[in-house]
Amino acid sequence: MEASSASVVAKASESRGASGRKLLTRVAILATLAAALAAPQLTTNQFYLHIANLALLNAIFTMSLGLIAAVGQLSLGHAAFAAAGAYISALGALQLKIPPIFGIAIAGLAMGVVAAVLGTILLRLRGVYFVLVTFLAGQVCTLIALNWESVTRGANGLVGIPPISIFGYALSSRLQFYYFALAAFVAVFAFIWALMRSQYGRAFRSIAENMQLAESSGIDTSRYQVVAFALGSGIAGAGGAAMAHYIRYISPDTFTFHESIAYITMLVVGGRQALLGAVLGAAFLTPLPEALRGFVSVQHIIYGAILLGVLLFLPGGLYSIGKLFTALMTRSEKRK
Amino acid sequence: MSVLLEVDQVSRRFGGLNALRNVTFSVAQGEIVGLIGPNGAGKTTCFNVVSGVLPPSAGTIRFKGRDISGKKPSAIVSQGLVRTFQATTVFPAATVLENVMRGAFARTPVSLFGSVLNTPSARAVLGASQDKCDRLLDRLGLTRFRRQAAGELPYGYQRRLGVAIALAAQPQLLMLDEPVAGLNPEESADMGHLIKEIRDAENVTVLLVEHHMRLVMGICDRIVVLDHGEKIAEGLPAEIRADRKVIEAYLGTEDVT
Amino acid sequence: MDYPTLLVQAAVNGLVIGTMYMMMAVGFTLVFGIMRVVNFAHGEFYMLGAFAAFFTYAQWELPFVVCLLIAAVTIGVLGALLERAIIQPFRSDELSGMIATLGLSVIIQNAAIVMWGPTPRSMPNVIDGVLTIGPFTFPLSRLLVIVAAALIFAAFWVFMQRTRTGRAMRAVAQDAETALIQGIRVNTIYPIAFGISVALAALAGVLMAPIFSVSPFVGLTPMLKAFVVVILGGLGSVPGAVVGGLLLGLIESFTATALGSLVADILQLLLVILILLVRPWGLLGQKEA
Repeated sequence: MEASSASVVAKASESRGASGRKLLTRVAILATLAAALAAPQLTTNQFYLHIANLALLNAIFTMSLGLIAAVGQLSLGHAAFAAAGAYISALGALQLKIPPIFGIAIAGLAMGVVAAVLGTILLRLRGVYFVLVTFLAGQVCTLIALNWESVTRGANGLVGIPPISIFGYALSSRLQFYYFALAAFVAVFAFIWALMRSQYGRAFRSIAENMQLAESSGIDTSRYQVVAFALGSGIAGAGGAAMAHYIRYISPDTFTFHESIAYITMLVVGGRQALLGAVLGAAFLTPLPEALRGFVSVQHIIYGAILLGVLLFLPGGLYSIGKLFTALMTRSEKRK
Repeated sequence: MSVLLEVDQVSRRFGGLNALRNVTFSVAQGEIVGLIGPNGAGKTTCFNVVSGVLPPSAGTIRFKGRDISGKKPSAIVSQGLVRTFQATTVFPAATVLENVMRGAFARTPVSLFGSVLNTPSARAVLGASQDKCDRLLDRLGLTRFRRQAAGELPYGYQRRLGVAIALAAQPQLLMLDEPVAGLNPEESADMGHLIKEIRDAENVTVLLVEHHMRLVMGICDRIVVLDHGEKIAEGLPAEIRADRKVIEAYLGTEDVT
Repeated sequence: MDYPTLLVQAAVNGLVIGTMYMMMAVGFTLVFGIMRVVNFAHGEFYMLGAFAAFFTYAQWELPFVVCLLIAAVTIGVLGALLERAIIQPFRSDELSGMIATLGLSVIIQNAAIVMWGPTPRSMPNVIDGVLTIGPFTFPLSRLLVIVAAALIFAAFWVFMQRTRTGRAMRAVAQDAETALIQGIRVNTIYPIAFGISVALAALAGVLMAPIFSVSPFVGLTPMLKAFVVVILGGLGSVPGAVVGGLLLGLIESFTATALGSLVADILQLLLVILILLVRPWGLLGQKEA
């Protein structure tokens, strides 16, 4: 009897602390959103806007990769889904006059379905085979993009892709696309957040931590792995399509194996958390090549070195630095 | 007493090796049945085949009259057959409470879609599930670890948590894989009491694999003995203790006290 | 050209390519079988071997056998050191280990671009001339590759079967726990295995350098083929890698001759999908529970 009343008291004080934290978090989110909306009005520098747009898109790619990683899987073909989505939407707009806004949705859906089919076949296999095959699948995509010249124009790529237009209003400038990208980012972030907080997230985390026990607890592991893979790859497809309508040009070089590695790097450096880690990683690594204006190869070496450095010495990534910071802050507050 | 589990002429081959050969036994409702045998006898393989981790090479497994041979473990769990593991017993990074909530996954009647949208009804169902899990933790004496990471618990408590996770799935037949392996005599005795209590209070039938003879002889109603993949004996503890074949199988390896 | 000549040519080319695939695949599958590591930088060691050949043979004009030795030893030692520095820390975390090798591949490839430039270089043939048997002519340079690869593999086989280190490696591949109990020191075996694996890749690079060009980008395709071969032959199976490698080379050569190289590539990938659907543990792999 005493034990249960003690737990009731404990739970009560826990929830008081929790609601305090909830309020703080909500304020922080609103403040960040307000800043994000206002910031671009303060500068006319097109370059910064471009970087911001790329960072938002990269965050979407990395968050969706994080979703796949949340079930303990590694997709080496993530960029291929982005590429396929980009080509589908671009061709839809160029050949069939499909409005880009629908093209993006179609691309996302199509890639989700493809990933679901592929995942059902592949996830029966051991984890390692899955990674190898996602790599091969990525190479197949590049192969098709290069060689199916009648459709994709091969190495020349597709030019003159129309921008997204909403109710007749074309998002042709960087500033205009920024608000679209921000909205898309918030939507993806909110979606993945809600997903990870739900029973789906519970299933994902179980599978990542102890697949055998998860399966034996009644969680259909292959089903949830396919769900994560399909959703993550579908979002990447939509993101690729958005990129195509922003840059107005795609070629087999836009999304290659190197991009797949880049998204993995961003996720790992950020801290492998599907949300905050992905955002931190994309935010940190997108401007880096521009900050290190030099040879492209040197940039890549630094990317690779950062990746190895984080893996070896800071496995929690940038996110863990943030956690450490807040832990120190709360500890000093408690002492007061 | 109705028969809950029927293992019918089950065989399992690995390449050329016969891990199980025509094993047949059954478990009736309300029993505590022990599955014993010297090392390498095929007990773990038998467990794995029954719980769906491995498909049988031949034979059938029936639970509540329905054929479950070769089905996925997650499908078998929802029918009421749940097992624990000897080695990887818990989700180490999650809290103890979360561990049990995961165990209850198949029995939480919340709509997945609803949980994403966090509807009031979803919240209500999950809240009720959490209360159930808290009560389970209370009954197993794990409440004070509620918010701790499962991996940090002392080994004895981790094994208890493993049982809690399995019980959260509301099994009719609970399969325990070496429940007292690595526990000291006091902890083993506690586990023995717990298993009996589960059977008596919750009406959960138990099938367990064990090496600890005192525990097996003490709490099991019936014992099945495997050796080299085949069943060599079956009966009451007193009968098994005196069985010639069993003693020979164990000669030099285990003390049958 | 008439059919027999075409066929024989295709067969020879198939064997040449096949031995390269075999060497790449054997190294790759060796590391996986012993260490459970997927080395995504495997192709870059092939590339380093090609550059080693270019510098030692084309520029310093050393005898070819010496070039082979230098490549194998320097890159093998490099591999052993990298194993200690980068692979070892992730022994218990397979996923992080894979990502680490990805990072390594990026660093190696771009370092090569920085040091040697992206332009492809060509290397002269090691032997000129042909061997004529009846109506068929075989370029000696191609035959050299086949013979050299056969010798290298024979040496590898003897090492694995006859030496203590080789037997220890096979023991670890079969059952790491028992091997440890028997006193086999994993910390010595792993770097050696990794070193041998990348040395094989480097040797493949040396042998192929005169046939394909030498540039920082030549590593990706051989690695891709290694993946295909190990999926066909079974991850962890050395015989599977040998048979799979030679088979893939021959299949590729014949289909390319008959239907063009694009169709050949697509066919291979379809083959991979088929195997994964029907017999995922490969032709000679172990069916795991």
